[in-house]
Amino acid sequence: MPVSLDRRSLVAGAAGAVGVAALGGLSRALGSPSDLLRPPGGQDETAFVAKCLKCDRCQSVCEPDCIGLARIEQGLVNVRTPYLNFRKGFCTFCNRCIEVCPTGALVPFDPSVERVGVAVVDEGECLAWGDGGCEKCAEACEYGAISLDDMRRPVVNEGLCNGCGKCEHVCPSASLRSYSGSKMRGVNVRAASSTEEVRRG
Amino acid sequence: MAERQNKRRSWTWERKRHAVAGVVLLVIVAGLLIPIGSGAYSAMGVEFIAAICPLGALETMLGAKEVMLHPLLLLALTLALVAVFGKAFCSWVCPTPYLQRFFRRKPRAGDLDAGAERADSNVAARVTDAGAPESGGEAACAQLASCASAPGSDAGRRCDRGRGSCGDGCALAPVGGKRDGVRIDGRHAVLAGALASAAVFGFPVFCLVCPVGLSVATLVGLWHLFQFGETTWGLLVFPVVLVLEVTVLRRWCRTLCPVAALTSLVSSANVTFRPRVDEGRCLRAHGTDCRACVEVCPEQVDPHSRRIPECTKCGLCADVCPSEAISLSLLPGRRTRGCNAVPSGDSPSESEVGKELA
Repeated sequence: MPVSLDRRSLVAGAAGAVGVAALGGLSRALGSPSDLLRPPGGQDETAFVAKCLKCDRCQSVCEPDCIGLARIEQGLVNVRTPYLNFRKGFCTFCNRCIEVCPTGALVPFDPSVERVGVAVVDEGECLAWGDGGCEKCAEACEYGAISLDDMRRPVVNEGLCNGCGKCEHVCPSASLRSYSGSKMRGVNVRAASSTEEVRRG
Repeated sequence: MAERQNKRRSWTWERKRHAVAGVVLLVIVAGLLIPIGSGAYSAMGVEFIAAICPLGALETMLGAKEVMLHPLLLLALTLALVAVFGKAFCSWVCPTPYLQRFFRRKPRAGDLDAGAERADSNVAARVTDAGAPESGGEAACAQLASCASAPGSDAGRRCDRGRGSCGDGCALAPVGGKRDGVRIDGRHAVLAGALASAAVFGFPVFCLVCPVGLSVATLVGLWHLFQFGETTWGLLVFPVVLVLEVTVLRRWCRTLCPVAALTSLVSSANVTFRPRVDEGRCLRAHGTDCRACVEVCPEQVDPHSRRIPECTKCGLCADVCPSEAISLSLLPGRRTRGCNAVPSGDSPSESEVGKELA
């Protein structure tokens, strides 16, 4: 099979190749916050960013609508990659995102032993820690991971929390205390190392 | 014949392509708005099946240094599609040519529309010289059939292609396209760079500058802006880079696109859905120096040539051919009719059809 070489074009292509490599180095050099909460099965961050093709299928298929797409401000490496955002919904571990992921960036996930993150009470934002009276998150938690202390303030039992985000989703602090200007809620799910497992009997 | 002409004009390959590209875009936008999981260009599909970007699939495998069965099967599916449909993605789905046309100030050589107009006028001029193509074609066809049946005869010698100046009714040599055959060029250098960058930096770097990816990034940015009032620098950065790519790097598709590099390598063995020239109808076989198909081709190939892996199945050659000699058909020889005095070497079955008729 005769193959023709276009040398002039090869030079332009080589310049393009160098440009792509430079962009890769720049993206890594600029760094990126590694605290994005990934959809279930994407907790190994290195493997996740290597495999995610930004195809948007997990975001699209998510019925509870709790998957958002990262913006350029969240790092060049993360642009358009999915992360969990519990403002509009919380994760039901329906597995749909994992099923449609074409590249294996999201691997099979068992919410009874693995976690996407862990809820952390922000005592400065939480209504119960401030003035008291709110028990929304403890009522909402399906895993019994939030208990109330003797002052009826929420405390997270990290061993039982798998990061589904229902507590963050129902937390009314952002709307009831909007004067503070904070986008944080009284309880927020933070990324947890994938090596930590949910300790449940 | 007039009826057929009208039909042909109303539903040209070009219009079919616009319809397909539009439907694909609509599905992508629908996927952003409702939970159907259709996905963007990089992996569109249903449930666990998706047509994955072949470059993206290789980048993720190299970046993660891991090959998983599911992505591997999807990559095989996509490569099978490329083997059957060649580089059809480039002209039927990819948004880049549309953006190139939109942001191009002046019509330039190689531009789809401009090329079509130019070719139309050129052919009109040449065809007027040669008389009516239809009637002339039939007569010449019969003449050529006789020379095919008697290769040693006087007529046979007259029809010998490659010796242009032998008078009326004689077959002219094929024009040939600048980009016929298997090519290794700048696109393959970018392909190597994209794969190496993914392996070294551990993420699909090229996706950041891919015009297809940037188009979707712009769409997503607009959607976030209108649905959530969310502003981001990306809404400025992505469209600017995209517009620079389609205006400054005008020859992106032919010199830089690594996806085209990959698909052209696979499509070098492609024989299905390629343009087939009915040599009996082609004006060149009858002595008219028609170059409509070659001049209109955005990939600069000649549909008469045996191996044209760069063909994107856009159908423009079939649309502009004044004698309707070109069709895009699944397999060789299915739609070739009439005599076939000029053995194109295109496929043996075409020559056989010619001999039978002769």
